[in-house]
Order: sequence, then structure tokens, then C-alpha cells
Amino acid sequence: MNKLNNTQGLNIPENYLVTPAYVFFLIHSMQVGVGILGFEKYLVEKAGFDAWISVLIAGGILHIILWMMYRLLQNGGGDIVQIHNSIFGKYIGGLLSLLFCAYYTLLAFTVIITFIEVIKVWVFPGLQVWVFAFVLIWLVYYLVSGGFRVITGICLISVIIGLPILLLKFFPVEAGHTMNIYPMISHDLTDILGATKQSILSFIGLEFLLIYYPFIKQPEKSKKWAHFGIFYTTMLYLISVLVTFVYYSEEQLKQVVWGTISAWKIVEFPFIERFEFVGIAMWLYVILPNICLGLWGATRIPKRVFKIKQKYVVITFCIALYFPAVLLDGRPVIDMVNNLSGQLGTYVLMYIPVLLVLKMISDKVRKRS
Amino acid sequence: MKIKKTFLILLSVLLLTGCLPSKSVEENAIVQIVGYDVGEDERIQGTVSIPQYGKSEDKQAASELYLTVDADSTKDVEVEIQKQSSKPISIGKLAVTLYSKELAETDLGDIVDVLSRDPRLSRNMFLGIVEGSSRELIESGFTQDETTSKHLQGLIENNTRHNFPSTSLHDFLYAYYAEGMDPFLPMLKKRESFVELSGVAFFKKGMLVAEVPDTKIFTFKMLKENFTRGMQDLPFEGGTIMMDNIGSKVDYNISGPMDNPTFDIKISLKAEVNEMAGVDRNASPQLAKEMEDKFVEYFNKETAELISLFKEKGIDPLGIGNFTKTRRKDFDLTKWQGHYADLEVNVIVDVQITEYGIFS
Repeated sequence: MNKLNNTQGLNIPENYLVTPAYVFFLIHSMQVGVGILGFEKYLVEKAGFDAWISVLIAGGILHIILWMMYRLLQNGGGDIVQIHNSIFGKYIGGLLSLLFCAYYTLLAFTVIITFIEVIKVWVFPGLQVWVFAFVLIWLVYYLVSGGFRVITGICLISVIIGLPILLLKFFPVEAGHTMNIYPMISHDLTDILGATKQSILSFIGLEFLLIYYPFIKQPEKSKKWAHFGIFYTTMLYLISVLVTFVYYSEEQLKQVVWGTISAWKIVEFPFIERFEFVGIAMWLYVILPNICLGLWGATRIPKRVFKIKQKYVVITFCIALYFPAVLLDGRPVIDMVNNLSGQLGTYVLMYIPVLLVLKMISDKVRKRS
Repeated sequence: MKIKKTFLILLSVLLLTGCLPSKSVEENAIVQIVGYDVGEDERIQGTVSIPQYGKSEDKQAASELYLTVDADSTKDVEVEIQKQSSKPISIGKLAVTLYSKELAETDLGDIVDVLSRDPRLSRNMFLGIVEGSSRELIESGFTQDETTSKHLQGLIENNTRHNFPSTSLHDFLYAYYAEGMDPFLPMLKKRESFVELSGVAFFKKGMLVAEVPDTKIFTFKMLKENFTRGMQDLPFEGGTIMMDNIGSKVDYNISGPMDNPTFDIKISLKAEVNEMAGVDRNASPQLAKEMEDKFVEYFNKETAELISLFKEKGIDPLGIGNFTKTRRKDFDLTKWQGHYADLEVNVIVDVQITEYGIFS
């Protein structure tokens, strides 16, 4: 666990770096989490069956934001903390960085409580949350204390384990009504943009690049992998959306809380009648990098701001996450936390262009003086 | 360090397993079929059949235990049955749910809600309407070697591969919630020693409003979906011909303005004639042509009857409104429902008889 100490400043030793291609897995696995299990409902509420367009628009917007992030980081000389410090100075910059830390923590927290809720509703209604949360957070602590490369490995594993679940999309399509996706656009632009905002809520996760950028070896080469990761996520979400549109009727989908899990219910094999149990169990691997990277990102910021050992921060954060995760319960509260983190996520994404402009201005001013 | 890690893994293994008490099959009452009837004092009468997997030597007969209770709601039925059972009730393998016609005519809305909410239930479960009492149907035990639920499940499943349109809990819910679409369910009827699929029950939201007998099922399925099996007989020149469907395709199309649209349903059917009882002529292209015309005439009459029934009752089991909604920007449900009775629906049937069997 002493690996964490050596990453002082931004001269990160080469043995802690990851190759550019892994950025694909880092970006993609962070974007896909609990959101994909039930985001269709929110899209349909806004734009009906035209919401697939919104998913494409959202994907396009994310490509632009990613491009901005690379612009920001390439001549920012490090991560978000460095950029904040250089623009706003040590104190305001540090404060802003800590806001990012809070946001990252909230993301990790949202994933934990939402997944626990899914388990409680679908599999074990009488789940002893304190035991499960304890084991889960212990596992996360174990992985996070392994350092960034371990987390990257988890991301890779999660993408690979998630792949076979994609094949299951075949079953709902087979039982579905393909006429539902006839491209007749019956909603106006405001509805579609409203649904675009909703899809961005489930797309968030790429902003972690701001903190793990210094860990990428030859970062300029990782650009295409990052874009490829976002493209893959967009396609995945598009497929999920189209499949649920084919499988459910519009008013029915508005009432289904977890569209994707409910669609798994139709999958029946001779040896397993309830596939959703297997699906939910496998989904733990898909959400694990979400929590790990979330916690790692969150704890790295205090380390960089206050120059303290990350290990202590991780322990504190684990304990701080554990108690609310056990205590918070019930659909309304969890829905609220999800909406809150989604809202903050959109603000963070909107903050990036602002930051880029500020950075360009401050660079110019500095050159002149 | 190493010891710490090993300890962590071991502890996780210990904590993650054995959290739940394990239950074996024999110790559970696995409900596979439930039937609901109208009970006394506005209550619901629920009947379940629980297969008994005992230690008895007699492995041939599938023994079942029937329990009947009166309850206030469908969920309450589960509670009441629990009171009568010596083993914990588990409903995860529920395969068939039956409602008596009497109950369905009042309203199935609340029941639908329960079915769509419970995560334990399979979406491939069959629902059915029973002419008469569902309790009697469940308790009659039709075959010696399989349980009632297996039998009924097989019966409905087999029929959906032939004359009956595909049906399941999911299909029912899809149509129930959709705009411009109404659900339908199979009707079951108990005869002296067997049970048969006697027709289709049509719903307006959760209420049973119309039914058609089994002779019209083929026509309904033809209007509803593409399929490759099923048979239809027809009187022809003093005898009967039996048509074996080998591929039926249906295509919807809407034209004209939304105030006064025209709906076209195009059906093209390929068939073989395998039985010509009492027809005293040799198979020839000429005869095939005559038979085709006769079938087209028959289907035109039947489809017109069905569609006028749907219009009269204000139901849309074909999902014409749902289809229009995906094709037209200015679809408005209340307007559509207002126009529905006057909607012009043209059914164009094309029958092609390709073979006459192996004997001329």
C-alpha cells in the first residue's frame, strides 16, 4: 500500500503509468454504470419514442467536451488541481478542486446506493445492507489502495465481463414490435433537447480524465482512444434505447423503473429461468470501476491540495461513505440522490468550456506580462 | 502483508456466502397455477394447485394439492393460502394465471398492477380467461402424468404456434398500457374430461367486453401477425376443404389526412390444401383458383365482421391506433378514439394455394 506515496507532484514514475489504449476502457467503463439499467424511462417521459435522437445528440456533445478537456489538459501541465491553481491561485483554486472532490465522491456514493437498491428490490428484499455495504466498500478500498493501475485493470475486466450481457438484447427484440422505431419525429426540438439533457445525466463519467490524465503515458496518443470510448458508449446506449423501445409500449415504459433489467426477465434458458439474477450479479463488475475510480479520483484531490498521504484520505472516505450508504433507504431518496448527481454532472460538463476560456485568457495575459 | 490479504479474501468469502437460509424443493410449496373467481361479499376466491413431490413410491401420478381461499385482493390470496399451507409458498415458478369470465367482466385493472409490479413473476407467464369457474378447471386434474399447470401451459403454448396469436403476460401489459391498443387473452373452457381453448377474449383496458369463438381465431391471428402455421377449414361444393397455412404476412398502411384516414391491411397467405373431403373433382390449377377465390371471399367476410365488432365495442386489439401513432406526427388519442368507429379499414386478402398434398 506504499505505492500511493510515490506519486508526488506530476512527475509520476513510469511504472505507475498506463498505455494510451487503456483510456478507452477507463472512459467507457466509467460512463456505463447503474444509469444504463433504467435511463430509458426518463428519456421517454421527455421525448417519447423520438428519444433515440437525443442519445445521438448527447454523444456528439460529449465528443466536443472531450476535445475541450484535451485542449485544457495538453497545455495545462497536469491535472485539474494544477489548472485550477494556475488560473485561480492557490486558495480559490484549491476550493474549486475540493468541489470536484465532493462531486466525485457523490458519484461513487450514488452508484453504491443505487446498486444496493437494485439488489434489494430484485433479488434479496431482506438484504442486510450493513454487511453487504461493508464487504463492498472493503473490496473497493482494497482495489483503490492498489493504485491507479489496478483500477485500470478493473475497468478492463468490467468491459470484458459486460460484453456477453449485450448478446441478451436479442431476446427482447425477438419479442418486440419493430414498428415502434419508425423514424417519424413527432416531438419538437425542446422536447428532444430535454431528453438530451436526461441522456447526458447517464453519460457522465468522462470528467475523471481531468484527474487521471497525468497517469497516461504519451497522453496525446490517447486522444483517439478516448473518443473511441465515448463513441462506443453512445452506441451502447443507443442500442439499449432502441431495444427497450421495441420491447415496451410508450406508456408502459413510463411505468417501468428499470427498463433494462425488466427486459432481461424475458430471457429464459432451460437451466436458468430468471436471468435477471445472473445479470444483476454480473453487473457488480460493471459498477465496480465506477466506485473505484470515483473514490480514487475523489481522494487524489485532497492529496494533491493538502499534500497528505492518499491512504489516509481513502480510509476516511470509505468510512464516510459507509454510514450514509447503510442509512439511506427508499426509492424517493435514492431517486433524489441520482438526480442531484446527474444535475451536478451536467454543471461540471458545462464548467469545462468555461474553464477552457478562462485558461486561454490567463495564458494570454501571462504571455503579455 | 500477505497474511492480511489472505485474511481479507477469506473473510469476504465467509461473509458473502450463506447469507440466506437454503431451501430445498421438497420443503417449498411451489405454486405453478393460480385461478381467481368472484367470491362472496365482493371478495376474490383464489385457488392454487401445489404439486406434491413426496417420498411416495408411486412416481407415476403427479399428485397435487388444491387450496382455495377467499381474500380481499390478489396479494391477500397469497397471505390466506400461506395460512393453509404447511410449507412456505413460493410463486416464482407461476406459469399460468386464470380468471373467471365473471371476474374479468368487472375489472382486471388492480390485478394487472400486481402482475406488473412483482419482480418474482416471469414475463412469459400465460394469462387466461375461464368460461365458468376457474376453481373447477384447476381441480379437475386432466391428465395422469402431468400437473394441471404443465398441461395448461403446454396447451396455450402449443396453440400460439398454430391458430392462436402469441400471448404472454408481457404482451398483455404491452397492450394494456399502450395508447391505441387493447389487450386480448385466450378463453379456456372445461369439457367433460378435457379442457380446450375455446376462443379469444377482448378487453377494453382491464375489462372483458367481447369474445369470439375458436373458429374465428385464425382470421384474427392473420390480421394480427405474420405466422407460418395454423389451419382453417371451409365448406366447398358440398364438401370441406382444409387449408394448411405455410406463410402468412400482414402489412398495415395508413393514408389520407388524420381527420379522415384510410387504413389498409394487406394480407398475403400461402397455403396448401391437405384435405378435400367430399369434393368430387381432381386437383387442377382451375380448382385451386376457385378455392383461392372462395377463401378470399370467406376471409373478407370474416375480417369485416371482426373489425365491425371491434369498432362497435370501441376496442383495438390489432393496435391500429398504436400503429398510426408511430407513423403520424399529429396523432391525438382522444380525437382518434372519436373517429375510430367511422374509420375506413380495408382488408385486402390474397390467398395462394401452392400444393394439394401428395395424392391427386
